Amino acid sequence: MFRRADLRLAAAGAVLLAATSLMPGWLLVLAATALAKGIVALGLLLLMRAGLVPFGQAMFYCLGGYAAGLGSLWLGIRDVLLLLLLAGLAAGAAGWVVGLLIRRYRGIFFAMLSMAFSMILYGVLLKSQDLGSSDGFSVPRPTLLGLTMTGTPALRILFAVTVLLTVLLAWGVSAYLRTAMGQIGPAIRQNEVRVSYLGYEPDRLIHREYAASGLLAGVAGALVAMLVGQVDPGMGFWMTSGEFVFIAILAGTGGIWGSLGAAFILEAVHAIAFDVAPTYWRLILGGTLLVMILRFPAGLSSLAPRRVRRA
Amino acid sequence: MRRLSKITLAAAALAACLQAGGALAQEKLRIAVVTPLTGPLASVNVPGQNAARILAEAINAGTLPAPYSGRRGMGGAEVELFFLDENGGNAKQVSEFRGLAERRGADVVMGFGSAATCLAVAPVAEELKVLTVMSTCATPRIFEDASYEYVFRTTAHTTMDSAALALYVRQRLPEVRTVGHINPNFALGQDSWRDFAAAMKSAMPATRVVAEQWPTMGSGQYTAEISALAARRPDLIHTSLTGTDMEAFMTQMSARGLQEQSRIVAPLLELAINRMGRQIPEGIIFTARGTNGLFAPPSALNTWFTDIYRGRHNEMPVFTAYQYAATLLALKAAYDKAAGPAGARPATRDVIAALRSSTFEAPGGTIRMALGNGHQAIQDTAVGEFGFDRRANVTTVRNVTVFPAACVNPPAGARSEAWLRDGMPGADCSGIVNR
Repeated sequence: MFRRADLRLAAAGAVLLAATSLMPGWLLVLAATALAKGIVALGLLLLMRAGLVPFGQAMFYCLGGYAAGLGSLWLGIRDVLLLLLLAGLAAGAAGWVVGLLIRRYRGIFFAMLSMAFSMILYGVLLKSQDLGSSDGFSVPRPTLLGLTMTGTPALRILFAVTVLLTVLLAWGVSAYLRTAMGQIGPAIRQNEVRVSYLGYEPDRLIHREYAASGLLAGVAGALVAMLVGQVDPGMGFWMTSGEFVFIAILAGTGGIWGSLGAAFILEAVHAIAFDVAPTYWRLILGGTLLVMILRFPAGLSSLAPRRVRRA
Repeated sequence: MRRLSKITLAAAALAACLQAGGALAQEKLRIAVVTPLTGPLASVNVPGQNAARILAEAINAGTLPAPYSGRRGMGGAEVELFFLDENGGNAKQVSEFRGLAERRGADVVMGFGSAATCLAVAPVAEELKVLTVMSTCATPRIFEDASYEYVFRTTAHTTMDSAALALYVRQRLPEVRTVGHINPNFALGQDSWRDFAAAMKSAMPATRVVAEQWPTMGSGQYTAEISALAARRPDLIHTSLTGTDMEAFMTQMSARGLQEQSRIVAPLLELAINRMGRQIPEGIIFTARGTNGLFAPPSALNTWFTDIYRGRHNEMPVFTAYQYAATLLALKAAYDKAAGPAGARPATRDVIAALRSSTFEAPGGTIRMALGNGHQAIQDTAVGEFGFDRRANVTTVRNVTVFPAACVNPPAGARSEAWLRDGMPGADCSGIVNR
């Protein structure tokens, strides 16, 4: 069950956990956001392997954030793990329902339909003045197993939770990709009719993976909401989806390392460009990404040595 | 593997770059200005940036006029501004805010155009104990939903605009019976309309709303909305569109003659007057979020400010410029007071004590930190009609009414929304002046 790639994943997690106490607050937030976006990218990886690019993944990210926020405001749930569970289930369930319709579509129709759904959520949230409209609302600091958290220690704990969760989910995704079902994805992309003749149902598989990717994005949204302490409809705007798609394209479909690495690189370039050129950061960000895509057309995961890539 | 090690090297280099930023000298007072430098709101916030630069230079050179003349710097320290883009979403803003405080050595953070950023950043400022002075953001929620020690806002919130506009309409256009509106579908537009509708209900209970339009922010094309408004023929149309949206609406609306059948109330028109000038139809009712810009009361400070601003940027400063100037002057007053005659660099704690509940002079008149436990400003405001002097080629304002701060701002402890709905109890409107 455990392979060398899994050990590498565990080692990377352990290094990050060990570094937690050394990192200042700003770096904790930056790194945790990058990991959370990495989790979204893991979900996209599932779909991209089947040749599907959802342009509305921000819907689940936003749903997860709002589920965590409303869970603590309305339901009084304050525990990090319970809120994450709630957010994951809510977003996963939404993914399942939307998937009933969307699983029949491919290519650009799949992309645009998923974006349409995400913009519906965005529009509804904009109209919800009780939820603060475009300003959103504050998410109180959660507790962990009954312990209240404040200040930078709270960030460290949230970061540690994010690292553990990322390792766990990345391991889950890589284990799934090794199963027979996980291998069907690329087959669907190459020849869907053949997959049907082999006795698998492409629609059903896509439906399941779409719901799973929704769940992953929901968990990530909840993590970011608790970390930032504020949710707003911007989390569900198409530009957020675009960022996720970008991470996924940068990552390639080679495996989990590309997804996590791409999220980190995007966040780092973003942060540096923001500091160095406050007015022209978009130019730097776009330029860097363009160069990377030209240089590594198959994504970052194509950089990794062969044995890692199969993980 | 060689590729991998290259990546590792690059990552290490980047980390080193980030680290180097933290090792800057600390003698100067470093003020971070967070403001939209890119995106659709950049154009309306550029004047704020310009004003901040002008003020910082004057503070360092000691060339400010009375009542700030004589002392250089802030609390004895030279001021250094650096800018950060207010874009990229709340998660980005919060992590950048932490970076400002922890890595880039910001002693004070100011600016902030959008309410969403203000709401997200305020608790973080409190947690990091960084003096944060908001210059613009609209919403009254910041100090009504929470209370802060380290967060201030040196401009009145937007409830004031709606209260003043409704009182102006009651006084000058008592024949108004029907109201329509076109407001952008996001928090600013919704708040603006909710406040104006509540204020109108209090001030003129006989009016009713006959047309509502909620275009998407940034849509740029308002033909259908204009048709819908024109068909209902309201006596008054309220719009809080701003920036390029406002410019597009004005152009499309005036071509159709909407302003000839309805009076237009546009609280944020002032931001567009330099760019649009004579393209704006005469007679539109507007304000400047305080007695700023064309509404400013004559003072040495205002003359100095407008002269230097016009000299440098070849246009009149609009209200965002006045707001950023006010923030820096409030900080200067507080730092100088906290430093005392000795002039030693004061502790943040003492600056906060000096700024809380203070009263200071700005180019737009006197500003008092009266609400939110002394953290939220109130100021006089004025409403007037837009005009354009074709001979002198300048924008003008006529039929101005000045409302004292106590008339159009809720009393301390009251919630704006309830205060407007309940008919503005406790408002002292004895000092209204018609010019």
